[in-house]
Amino acid sequence: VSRPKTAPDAPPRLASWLMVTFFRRERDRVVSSLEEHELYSDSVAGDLEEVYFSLSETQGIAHARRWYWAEVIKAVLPSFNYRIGVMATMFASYLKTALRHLWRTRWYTAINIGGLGIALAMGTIALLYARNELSYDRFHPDQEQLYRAGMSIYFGELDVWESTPFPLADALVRDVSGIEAAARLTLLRARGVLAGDQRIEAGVHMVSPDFLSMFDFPLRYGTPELIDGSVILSTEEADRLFGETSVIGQTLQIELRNGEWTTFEVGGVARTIPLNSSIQFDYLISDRYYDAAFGPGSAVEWQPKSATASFVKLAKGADVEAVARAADAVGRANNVDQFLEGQEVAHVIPLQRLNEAHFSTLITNRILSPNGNPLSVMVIAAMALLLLAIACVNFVNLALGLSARRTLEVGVRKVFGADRGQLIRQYTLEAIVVAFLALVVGLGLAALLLPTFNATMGQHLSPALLTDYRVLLSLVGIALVVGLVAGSYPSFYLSRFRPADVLKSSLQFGGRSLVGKGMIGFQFGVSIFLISATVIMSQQLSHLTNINLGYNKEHVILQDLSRGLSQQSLDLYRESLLADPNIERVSGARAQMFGDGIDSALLVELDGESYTLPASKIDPDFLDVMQLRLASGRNLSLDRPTDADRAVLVNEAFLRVFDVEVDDETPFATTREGAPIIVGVVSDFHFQSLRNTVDPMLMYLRPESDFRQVLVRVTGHDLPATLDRMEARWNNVGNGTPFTYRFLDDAVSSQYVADSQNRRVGSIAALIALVIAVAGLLGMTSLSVARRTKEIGVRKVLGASGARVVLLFNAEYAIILLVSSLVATPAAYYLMNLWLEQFAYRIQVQLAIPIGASLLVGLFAVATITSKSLSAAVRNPVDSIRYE
Amino acid sequence: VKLPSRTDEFVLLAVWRLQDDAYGVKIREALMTMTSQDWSFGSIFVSLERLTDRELLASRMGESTPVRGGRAKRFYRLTTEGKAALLRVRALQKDAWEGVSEAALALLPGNSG
Repeated sequence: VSRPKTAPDAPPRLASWLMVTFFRRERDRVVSSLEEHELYSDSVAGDLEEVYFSLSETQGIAHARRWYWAEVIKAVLPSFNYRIGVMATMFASYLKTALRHLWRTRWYTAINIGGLGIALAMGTIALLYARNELSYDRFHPDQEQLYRAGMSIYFGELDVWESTPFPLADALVRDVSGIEAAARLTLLRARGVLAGDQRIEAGVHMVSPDFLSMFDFPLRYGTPELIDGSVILSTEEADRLFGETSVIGQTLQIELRNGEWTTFEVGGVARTIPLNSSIQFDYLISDRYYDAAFGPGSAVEWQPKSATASFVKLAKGADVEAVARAADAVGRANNVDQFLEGQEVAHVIPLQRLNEAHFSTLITNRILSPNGNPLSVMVIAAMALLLLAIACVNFVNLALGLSARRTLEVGVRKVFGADRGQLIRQYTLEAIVVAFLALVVGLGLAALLLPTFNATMGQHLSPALLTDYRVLLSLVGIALVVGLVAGSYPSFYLSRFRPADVLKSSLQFGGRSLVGKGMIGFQFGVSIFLISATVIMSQQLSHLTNINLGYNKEHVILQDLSRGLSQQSLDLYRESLLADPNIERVSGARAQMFGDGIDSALLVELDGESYTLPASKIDPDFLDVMQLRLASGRNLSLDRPTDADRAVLVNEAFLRVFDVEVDDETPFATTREGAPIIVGVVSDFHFQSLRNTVDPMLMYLRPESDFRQVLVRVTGHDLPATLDRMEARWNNVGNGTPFTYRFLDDAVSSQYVADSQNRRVGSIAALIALVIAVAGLLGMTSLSVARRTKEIGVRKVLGASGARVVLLFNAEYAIILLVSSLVATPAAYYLMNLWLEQFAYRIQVQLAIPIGASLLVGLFAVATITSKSLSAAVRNPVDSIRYE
Repeated sequence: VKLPSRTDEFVLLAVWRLQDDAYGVKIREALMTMTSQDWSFGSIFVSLERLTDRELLASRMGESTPVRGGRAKRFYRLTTEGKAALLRVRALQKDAWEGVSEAALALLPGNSG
């Protein structure tokens, strides 16, 4: 058949193709050969085309095309319906067969569904967690254009601060051409709030006018505009204060500065802020109150002292590098580089995309919600994947083991005309059905376990997320992939059998195959690795708690103060507390010392160099409260007038680093305040976490400045009553600051929260892995015992004892266990050493741990195999040989 | 033997009327003239296939023609069984309509009225 090239006025090509390809409802019965097929298609297309051309001449080409499409659709649709019908019938038949088989082997099915279900529950939770963590700040419509400006600073070491000078945002939007908007967010921590007769303390956020238009924080009530004297509340806070959310026009008072209360009227209530937002607020007011909060003239100072974060919105398609350079120029023009102490940095004002702020290693979030831990996300995702892999291995192994029972089925199916593709579809569908049943189990388990997970990981994931269609779709996708992956090997393996071999029973089938053994080895290996890793993590963490910190963290109560406390007030408070026999010592300090290290510093000039060193004002009783030891010299004293502004205490590390003398007379350095003298040396104590060794630090008195923390050593007897009495006494001196406290030992262990979370997740995963692997082994052994019934009988007739038969089964797995132990041991050794490297004080990984873990896994394996093979071994050979 | 459906009956009639010129386009035109309705190719082809399968129609390929993009026509003709089927339908219709005059039908009171 010759055909001219497609003319420009030819009928739509897609439509012709559809017609020729799909219009064949009964053609198969009309024409038999391929050539006839083509001829027939041709005549059909020809008829349509003839009318098409005549239509295009009389009615125009557009009309003709419409007609052609309509014809094709009318012709093809019924034949599609027909094909879908055929497919549905086929699918129903496959499904029925699959369910029948799964029910017949229900114990193995239960092992599969249980194992996969647990793994999928873990996977579901990991998915929710990762989805939340990875989606931070991506809900703003212009999220790709939103950046946060930081500030490089030298403070003992180079750092980038989240806190920026107040005038920065305005200067950036005015002087940098690629920036189209800017916003400020200033956090006032722990301010008094008065609403009706309720008095609470809360964080208050002050923002610049563009804040609400730059970010997507829609309001439930009110207008998104902050005029003077108005406050926007979060839904939760409105409900907490007023017992309802529609509270426009209600008034409340905020203590912007010590004792200075300002009245605000509620102008808006924000909708619940998404969990995955780095910016969280309860009270939003205009930052025209900045001077009211920080003192007159504060708003024009180029100092990073007030917790103000700056954000910019880049113009679409702006060159980020060019904008960053221009931002640097703005910073340098305003002398921001003076805080660098002459250090060279890439950017004085570094820009960071807002949606990268959550996992930022550049900037520690204090104004924004705390940084996430990418390691935790990876650990949890890796555990979920490992468990899924183990459960898939169970499926594959059991399917292969069961294949012995199915060879006859395959043979008969093939004899009756099933082709290989059909069998592959059948067995793959079986796997997918198992995966979906497991998904149902997994979803239920995930909903049950989510609260536990939230408590362990400090998360707030809601079970309602499980019904989010995107989550469900991804889970269905995962189940589908798991089913396909787990089902592919068995289905190809099973469908390979040739009917003649099967029906003649001359086939040697698997179970002893290398693949099956390899997979069991993989399960052993993962279990050994997870157990070893968990044990090593536990050892390291308990090692950390056993290290002598240099102070006594037990029985110390910390009161963090939102505003300063004078020496006189502390003395008063101490006097009233010491009347209590359960209170031993009371002291104060300026810096928080036992969280992330000391948060204040002193600039010291020594031998012509300047150093910024961690330092804190203390009360002389600090050494007694913390039970620090004096290595030499004497303690600071308020009774010596010269101690007030000259004397310092240093730690031993200070002496190791700097070549100075402990000398009551001679200044060893100069500071902005004068010439300090070292009066005493305290033994090193770990004011930082044990990831670090002890750095040099100083302590001084300077009685005219305020304390920010009260430290109280108690006996530990009758703690609740002691705390009540402390509160009563605090209210007399505390100047309205509410009584809040925490325990020093909690503060110390909070340094290792992420590590202990990882350990807990690891130990749960290790347990699950072991359970799934043992269940799989159980299934494998019972299959292997069933398959070898006759062999066992013959062996016994020939004189083998029952014990020997059990040994035979065990020996098969001993080698596998040995190999997987040889692989898992170095893996655990290497990876855990990597993890340990972050600690300055760490344990040695002992080889005994992976070896012990191997023995433990081996013990479980032996118990499983023995329990299953014993029944076969003690059976009378007469029965077992006759069983066919 | 099963009676042909109404559609099949019309298609058979169209093929018979067209004699040597009975191919898709002409059959469709004839049907449209006969019934004053639009006919889609899809339904005609399905009917033609069914009738061919039941051996009431036979087909042969014609020469290719430039009008239709060089594609050949498929010509249909009635087989002996096809003719017999048409005759049977006609006889049955005659019997079934025996005694029913147009006037009588028009006078019959309708249910919907």
